[in-house]
Amino acid sequence: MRSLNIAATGMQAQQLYVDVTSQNLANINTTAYKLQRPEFEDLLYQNQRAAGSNSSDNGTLVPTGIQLGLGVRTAAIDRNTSQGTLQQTSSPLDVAIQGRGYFQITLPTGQIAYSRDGGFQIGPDGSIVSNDGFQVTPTITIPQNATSISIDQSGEVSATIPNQTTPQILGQMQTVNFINEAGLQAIGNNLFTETAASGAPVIGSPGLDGLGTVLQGFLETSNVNPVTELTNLIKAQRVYEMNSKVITKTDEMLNNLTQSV
Amino acid sequence: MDNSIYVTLSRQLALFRDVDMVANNIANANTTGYNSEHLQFNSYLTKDISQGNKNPVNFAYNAYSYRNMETGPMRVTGNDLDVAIEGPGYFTLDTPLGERYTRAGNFQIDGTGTLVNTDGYPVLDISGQPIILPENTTSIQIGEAGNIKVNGEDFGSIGVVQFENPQLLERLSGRIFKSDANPQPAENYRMMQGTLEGANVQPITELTRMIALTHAVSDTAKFIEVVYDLERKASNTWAQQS
Repeated sequence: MRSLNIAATGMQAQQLYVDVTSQNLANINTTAYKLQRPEFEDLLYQNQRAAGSNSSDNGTLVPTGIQLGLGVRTAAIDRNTSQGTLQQTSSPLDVAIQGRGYFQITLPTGQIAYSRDGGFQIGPDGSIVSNDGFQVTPTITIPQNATSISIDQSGEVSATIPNQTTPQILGQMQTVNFINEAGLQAIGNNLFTETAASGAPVIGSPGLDGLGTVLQGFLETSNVNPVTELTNLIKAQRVYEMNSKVITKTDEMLNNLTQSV
Repeated sequence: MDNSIYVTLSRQLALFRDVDMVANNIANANTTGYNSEHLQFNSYLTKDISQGNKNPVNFAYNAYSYRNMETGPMRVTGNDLDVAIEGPGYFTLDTPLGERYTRAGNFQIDGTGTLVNTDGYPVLDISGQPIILPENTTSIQIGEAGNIKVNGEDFGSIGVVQFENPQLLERLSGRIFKSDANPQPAENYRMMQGTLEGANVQPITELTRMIALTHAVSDTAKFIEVVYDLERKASNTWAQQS
């Protein structure tokens, strides 16, 4: 009986569906979290009777054959890179990207990671760092006596210094673009690293070359829609139940058979 | 030897095959672009009356399986690279083993900017060429006919093909189909961006089928028991009389 194994693949797939959905729901309030979605595909088919084979000696052909499928498997877990909604925070170092682009964050290992989470802080040396204290690249240092910081749409950071009439320009924030954002590898802490699938990063200034502009005093929320996730959860659960029913029924049939022998 | 046990056995084997098929449909109830598969029973006649036999015997056997080609339920995802075809038609994929066809339109862009499916096979446009998007792509719009607009400018069209007899398509793993016949450009379809076609499995039909199959299997098992009982009685009678 293949149906036992087929139903087992179905249950495994739906279990994964629940796993991914719960990950989305758990991250509903995570800054710049991108929705994930599992993609399933059917497994191999067994050709029990091939279409187009001879059905008689006179050369008549079988119009359609019998193809028995062997279950389901997970093809991929996609990341939906659509824009999350922007939430006002009024903190001068909270920066949201409107459109495409990632900030570059230098990890303690020296490796560059990418993030859309623009909830920045000032590090002990005055430079702009991420929430985890990792350096934002390119390094921009805020003078100790700065009274206010402003970041314009193109990412230019300036600060007001006491006794100076014009604000002092501190540097230019840069963002990077990937041809295939969904191919980035998530490493946790809202960070991503480059892969062969994502393509090489293209560095630019916000607002130019297809890169989105930046918005000071805002954070990008997750793009998870709780209603969709809850319906997905129901769908996954029902299909899981149906698959377990198939196992019960198959077991009943086998039981019938063994009893009659 | 009496034929009845063998006739019942043929039914039981056919039923088990049907159970497998129902199980596969249910396992794929959440698979994008999956078409449910159904089994057609047929009788296989031996000892034909026309040839002078008084007792014709019909064996059950599975003649063929067919694919339910109804369009599945449409699910809005909001992802620009999800495309569903309403009506007949298939996307063409360029695989290392030749062209393959699919209705699962959950596409992605790979590291070189090529539009690919979840297995990384390029999706072909109407002229049979892969669709390579420029690096500065910020927006992709796909119209009802499959025409792509990148950053507001026309950028080719996603190809949609159809077949004279779509039932002849051979199913391969990964929601893709293979065809020996040449595809024709599809007509009467509508493409929907930001939408995916769900599996067209009807859960209620499949579950009731499963219940019906359980009863059928138990009935045939009972029948075999009855025949066995009859034969035992017959041989007992014979033993007593001799």
